[in-house]
Amino acid sequence: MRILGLSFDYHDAAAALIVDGVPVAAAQEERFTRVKHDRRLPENAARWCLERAGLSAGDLDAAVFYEKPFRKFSRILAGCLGTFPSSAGLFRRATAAWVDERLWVGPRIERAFGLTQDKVLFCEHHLSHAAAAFYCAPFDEAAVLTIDGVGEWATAAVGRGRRGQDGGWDLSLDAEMRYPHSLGLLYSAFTAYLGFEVNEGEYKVMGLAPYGRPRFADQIRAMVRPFEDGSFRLDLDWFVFQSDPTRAFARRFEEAFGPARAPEAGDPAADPRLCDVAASIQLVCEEMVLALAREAHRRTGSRHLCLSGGVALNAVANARVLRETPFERVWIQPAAGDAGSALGAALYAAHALGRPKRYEMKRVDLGPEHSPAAAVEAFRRAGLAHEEIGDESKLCGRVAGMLAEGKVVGWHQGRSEWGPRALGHRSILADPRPAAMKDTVNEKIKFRELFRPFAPSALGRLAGEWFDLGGSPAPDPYRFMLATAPVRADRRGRLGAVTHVDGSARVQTVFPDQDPLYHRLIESFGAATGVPVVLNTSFNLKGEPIVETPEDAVATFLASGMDALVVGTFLVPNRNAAAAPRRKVWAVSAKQSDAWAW
Amino acid sequence: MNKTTDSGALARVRRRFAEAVRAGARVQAAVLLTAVYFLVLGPAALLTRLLGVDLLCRRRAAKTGWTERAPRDPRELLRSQG
Repeated sequence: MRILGLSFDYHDAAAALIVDGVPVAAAQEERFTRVKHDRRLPENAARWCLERAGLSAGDLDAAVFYEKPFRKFSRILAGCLGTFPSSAGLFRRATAAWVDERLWVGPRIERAFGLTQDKVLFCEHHLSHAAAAFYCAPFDEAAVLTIDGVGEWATAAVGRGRRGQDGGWDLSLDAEMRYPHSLGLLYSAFTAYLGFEVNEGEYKVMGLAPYGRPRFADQIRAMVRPFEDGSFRLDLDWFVFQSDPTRAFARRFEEAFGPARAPEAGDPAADPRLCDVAASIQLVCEEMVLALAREAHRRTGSRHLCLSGGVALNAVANARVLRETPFERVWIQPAAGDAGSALGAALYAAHALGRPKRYEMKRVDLGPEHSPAAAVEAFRRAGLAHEEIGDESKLCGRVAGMLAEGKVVGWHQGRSEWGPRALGHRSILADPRPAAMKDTVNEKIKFRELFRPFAPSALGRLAGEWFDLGGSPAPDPYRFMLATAPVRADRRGRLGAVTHVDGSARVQTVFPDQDPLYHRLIESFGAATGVPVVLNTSFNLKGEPIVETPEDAVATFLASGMDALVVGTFLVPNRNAAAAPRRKVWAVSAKQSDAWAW
Repeated sequence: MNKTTDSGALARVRRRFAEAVRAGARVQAAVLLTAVYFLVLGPAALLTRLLGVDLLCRRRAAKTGWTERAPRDPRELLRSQG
């Protein structure tokens, strides 16, 4: 059975193709269009998925959209009714967008891919999240918890996946929390208050939090009325996202926490008050995630938890779920946000319509790969001299040596990763030892805020010696850089560039079965320096999508201060005569006008 | 040469006309939707409040934020958009 999953119209449009229950291709539209968070119908991504599998749209058994558009529109109308007469602006903008295109998802998919109406299906938003986690996890039975901003009505859901009587695997959601009572929207309101872009800047809030003290936590807890079962109700007097199309928080926010930071103004880490607000919302978010996870355990009694939804990208909260809940194993979908729902919707349909074999996601390189000829052509166009190093161990040795010398290297290998994390296929790599490397990469390479931390990639078998991963083998989420861990106190001096101010790091454990080349590179760096860890950050500049093609990689290399570039077996050892870093003009961000759930 | 200049000028006129039409459509849509908001949603909002319908789950008496879901057939669930 061949099923195409699609998510679009809100943010992070994506397509995923499942053949007989196994994902063969998945990619976000932004990687093709170079529009960050591109939300348009992912025609490029979908056509590439089909091409990769050697299929045409006519070969599909179904195309599945990741949510129920009519139900979502009913929620928006109900929200407008519930907040009348202050929702006139929201009604005007939302209704125009919905009548113009969002209500016609089915016909648009039919038209784009030449499908008949009966082949276009619709999964529920949180069921798509749940399926993206459970149907990729290594469990026959698990509790499932999804938490995000909002889908149709649901903002969080709890359920269970298990083996059915007929030998297949069944997934159901037993209960849901409903809009406007949303942990994701609460966190996003603070993201906006702190001057970051909603649906993009949540990572920055998480990164800013360790600079502060959670002295506002009690005030934030007062905004949230928690129940004993982990659920909660927001005090809506603090928010306006339910009636205002452009704003999330009410004036009371500024009375309680001081003036909001203007978007992208100044260095927030230099303002202790803003750091304290970030620390406070992060702490409350962790507490709420823990309460929801404990409720999932109480309801199911399961030893396993599958976690998904945008909030499941909060690596600090995830670390606490690993350590402080009764679950023995936790599995988190690497593309936990809405993009991952394209995969989830397709997997849900695959298991609902047939009984495919079980799939376990061990690696995330589901995106496009590019030929050596494409790399050579990109170098030629840019006038970059390069050398080919066919022997992988020589290539890794050479690059490890460059990293050890303090050079920053762009690393473009094989198929691109599924999800927001670069895990060694589209990465910028550097030496994790000198603390100054963090500022160098932030300032000169990625042109981003200095307070933001970098993640380490560590050899899986040795990672426990450097990081307190809470058990051996390391919990699954570390494979995909989905949780933080304390850097061992006696090692912090040797990991200055990847140890955050609170002594933590969002570590990725790398195993040979997952990525042999990247594993070998880290091994080579370890042999050269005694530190089996490299600094790994996504191969992009601030505000741009991660690079996809060799051409993108070359453009980003030239636009940044990177010292060297590797594409496949080709090494560009220096910038040659290339000019100083120059900004590109082609990468743009999608409009965030609909960030508030309409 | 003249032909190119003419077609360039025509294209500019066409673009400006299209922009003007779009701007007009935006104003028209805004006026219409505002009218719908106050004339249709207004009475409906009043009615829901009179009937005590709690659209945004604001009631303080609630003991839980969870809404239990009834089991549904997965195949049926996939068919509907609502």
